[in-house]
Amino acid sequence: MARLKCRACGGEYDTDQPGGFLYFHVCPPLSRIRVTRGGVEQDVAADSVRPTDTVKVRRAGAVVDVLVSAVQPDDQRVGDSSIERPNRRDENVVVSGYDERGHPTVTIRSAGAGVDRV
Amino acid sequence: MVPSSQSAMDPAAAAAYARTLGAPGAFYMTGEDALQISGWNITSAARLRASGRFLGCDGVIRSFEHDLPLTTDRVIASLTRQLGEGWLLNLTVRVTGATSVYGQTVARAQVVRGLETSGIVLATLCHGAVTSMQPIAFPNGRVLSMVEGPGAVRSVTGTDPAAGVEISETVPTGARWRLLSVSFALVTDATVATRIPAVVVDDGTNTYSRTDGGVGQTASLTRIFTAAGGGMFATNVGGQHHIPFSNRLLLLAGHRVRTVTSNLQAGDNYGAPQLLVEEWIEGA
Repeated sequence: MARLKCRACGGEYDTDQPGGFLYFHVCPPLSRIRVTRGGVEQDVAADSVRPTDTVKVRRAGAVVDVLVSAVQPDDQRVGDSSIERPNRRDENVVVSGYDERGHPTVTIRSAGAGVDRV
Repeated sequence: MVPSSQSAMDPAAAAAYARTLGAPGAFYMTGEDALQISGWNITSAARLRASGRFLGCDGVIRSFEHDLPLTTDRVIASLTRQLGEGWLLNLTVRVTGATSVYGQTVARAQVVRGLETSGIVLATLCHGAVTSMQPIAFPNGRVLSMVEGPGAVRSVTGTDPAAGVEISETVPTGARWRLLSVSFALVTDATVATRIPAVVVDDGTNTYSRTDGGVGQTASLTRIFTAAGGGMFATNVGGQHHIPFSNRLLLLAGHRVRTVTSNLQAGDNYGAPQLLVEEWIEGA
């Protein structure tokens, strides 16, 4: 059993589950936050949001634009989305061919950015 | 049936044929036919053991036993053995080398003509879930769908996401899941905002089930959410939240269980989700 860390998403997982079953890691989608920056609307990662960005939030039943630094506790941000993570890892097996005896040979669907052993 | 390769007057063949009269389920095989055993599995170190008796045209009953190593990723493994010309009297296939729960290993026995997996299937003798104590058998066995009957219940520890990343678990290749429950912890950072997790189930692209957490989590808190079939929204004094959802959802390979969190911040951190699933092997 090994504990691995995915380079694409940063997630950590054990290759073997309790009971000896295999686990097949798949990177989660990439969350995007809709901000307005310099007058331009764009989607950015959560760790790229700046205090001077403007986001749309639902406040008192209405959708309003507020500075990130001025968001209140009960504001609910709108416009968030998710996209498939670039260079994502998907360890689910696919049949890549057949050997000389007709038995399937398998590979993982996508190695992505690779993994590091933790 | 009198063997095609033998004269109808051959005493040995006639005697052999006569012995089959006491075994009406006997399956006649020509020398070109072969017994093929296939298996799909998730249990470590599990093998299939196929054993039985074969009546040759010489009138001699011979026992046989063949072992098939299995994969653990639900991909088919097969072996093909020619038994000669005669009658397959009986066959049993069971798990050996591991203790598996019903539904973790599926086996199939067929009669094929040709080599290995490119052979033409002439008959399916038996097919179904097997364990070390519960074999499939011929004759009098059944040919069951791989998703018939109860699945194998097991606990799955998912990926521990990095900070600012949602939970997402995908049904593996060759599996079908019924999601019984999923539990996860959320640690919020110091950013002032109210986060509301939702449990979403999709087909890899399109959402077909979404249940919002029903309660918000503010800054610098640790809360545990459990989504399970039935029940109602509930929060206890320890800050553990119950999220009800349908326990009749059947998830195919590639479908996902994930969180979508309103106001998720870059420093928020989900713990590894723990899923309880009922699983059937559909094979690959």
